[in-house]
Amino acid sequence: MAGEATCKLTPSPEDPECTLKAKVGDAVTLDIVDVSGSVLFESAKYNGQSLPGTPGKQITFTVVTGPKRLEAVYLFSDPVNGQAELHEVCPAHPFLLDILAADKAVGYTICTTGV
Amino acid sequence: MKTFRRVLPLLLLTAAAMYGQTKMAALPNECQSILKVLLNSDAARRDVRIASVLKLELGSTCFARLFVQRNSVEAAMLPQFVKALESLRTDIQAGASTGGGGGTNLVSKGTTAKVLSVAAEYGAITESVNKQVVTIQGSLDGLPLALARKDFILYCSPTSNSKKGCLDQGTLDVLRRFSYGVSFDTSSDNQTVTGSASGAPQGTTQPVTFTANRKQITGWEGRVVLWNARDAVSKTFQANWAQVFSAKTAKGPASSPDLTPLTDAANALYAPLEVLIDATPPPGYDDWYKGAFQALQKFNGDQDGLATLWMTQIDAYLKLVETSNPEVAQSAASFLRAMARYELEQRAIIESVANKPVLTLQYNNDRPTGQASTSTARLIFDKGLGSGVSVAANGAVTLYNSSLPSNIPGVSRLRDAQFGFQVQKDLGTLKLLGAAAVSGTYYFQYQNSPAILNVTPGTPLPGITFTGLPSMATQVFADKGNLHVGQLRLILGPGSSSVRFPLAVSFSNRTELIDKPTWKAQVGVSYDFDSLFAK
Repeated sequence: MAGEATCKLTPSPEDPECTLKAKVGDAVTLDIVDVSGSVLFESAKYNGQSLPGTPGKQITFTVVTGPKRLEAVYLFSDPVNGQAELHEVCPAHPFLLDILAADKAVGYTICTTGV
Repeated sequence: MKTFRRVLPLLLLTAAAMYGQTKMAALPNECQSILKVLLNSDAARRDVRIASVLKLELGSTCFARLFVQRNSVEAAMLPQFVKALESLRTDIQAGASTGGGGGTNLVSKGTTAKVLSVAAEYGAITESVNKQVVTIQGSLDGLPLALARKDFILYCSPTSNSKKGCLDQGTLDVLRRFSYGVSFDTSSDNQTVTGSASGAPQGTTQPVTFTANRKQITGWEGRVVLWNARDAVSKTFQANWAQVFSAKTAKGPASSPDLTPLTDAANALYAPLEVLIDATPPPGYDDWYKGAFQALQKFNGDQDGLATLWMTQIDAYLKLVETSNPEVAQSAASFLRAMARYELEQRAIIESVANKPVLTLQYNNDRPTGQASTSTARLIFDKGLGSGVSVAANGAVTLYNSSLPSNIPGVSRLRDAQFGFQVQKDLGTLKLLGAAAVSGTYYFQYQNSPAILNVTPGTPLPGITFTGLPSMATQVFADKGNLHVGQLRLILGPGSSSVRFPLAVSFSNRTELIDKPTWKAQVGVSYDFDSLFAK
């Protein structure tokens, strides 16, 4: 239970290749916090596999040895000025990335730091 | 020439400054958006946002626009689309022509309009004789939408500042206000042919001239939406918008939009996205990234300063990618086309939730078999009340299209006036039955002039038998009287199909011809071709 409470993703902006880092085997849940308008995951793929629960506010996947790509297509109720934030579902609920109407399809590279 | 194109963004920035345009404004809108978020960032999130403006995979649309802008690949893509157009032509008739005695084509094709709904309905409400009528309807934005969905024309991305050579939302909004419809009477006894002797008999043979004396097109209509209630910002809109996507696997309410085109467009984005972002990292990328990251970390200025610094750094990156992957501009163009299609479908869902016609003017020109033709002007009021409940009210007047014999008692060009009121409730998705809605309707018709039938001696009207009619009679009329009609209707839409089955039962105090109370039933089937053509 204590393990589930720990936040698992770490943004790595200074790394040219990786967007986020996590440990292999971590089960990660991401959610969308609206800033302007309403935003949803229309669909998402991790390591080439479609993730369940879309369209929706949250996606969950288990980290595999990387780097692997998490691709997401976002839906915006305001397709011009819509904005949201991507957070990890964990007690600290940390901010990971911005979600902007200007970029409705993005790829996040998730690197691994070992088991 | 190639070198010129590749320094174009920097030249544009310089030119923008010379003409008073800010350097930021000279960038593609998508790039401006990510830079403005960085500019307004707090310290804690600054590094993440610097990465977002430097990594292609995090700002794919911005980078794709820069690649396309530098290489002018939009024009080069055109021949591929012309080729695709030829392979996808649908203006070639498949199946027998009308009159062939068999086949599936209701009308022969020259070229056909694609985005249509077709409804076949059986049953009369105010009339006395049941008929089978097929109605084809569409709106004027249907054709450009269909072309955009097949990539023959490009939809202008709402986030892009380039609206040249593409279909913009404003044009679609205007065209959507206009719609049309044509009704065909397909009753089996509708079309009759009369043969008249046209010469002297020759032994046992007789020359005859045949004439068709029934019309299959029984009416046409045009509509214009006078007043749209547009709400794309309120919490109610956002709740309704989210509700549309809340249960993707289950079909929503009978009136909810079909999500299939949106899902298809989203799925079509992945392949070009992957091709585009797999173009990185080129040799030298790591060193470039670290240098650009540090330069932006040190930056402390206004938005034009940021635009200049960022463009200088990004120009070096674009050159690196183009050198290692000369096809990147084509990949970027493919990604932008897929994105434009996705934007189109996303906007279509929003419009269907946000835009509700409140006041519509409809004109009907009816030419029913055996009756004098009429024109009807109808004002239609629609209003959603929330929780799947909506109301609609109609007021209309009907005029005869030509003057009528004055010896008919009470005859007037003003045939009747009508008022109708309907309450509908969406029932959501029912087990086995699929999407469903139920409605109750009250209809009143003030009959100012009696209903008049045109008769031709020797040619019976479909469904009507006359006895004791003088051989000279060409028009007959009934006792006029006001109509009160109540109707209960159930609309079913099985599975995730675009088929709808309306089933209704009505009670009226009389019909236009018969002065007695009557129960009637109406059934139908309709198909919305929009989802089909969106694939």
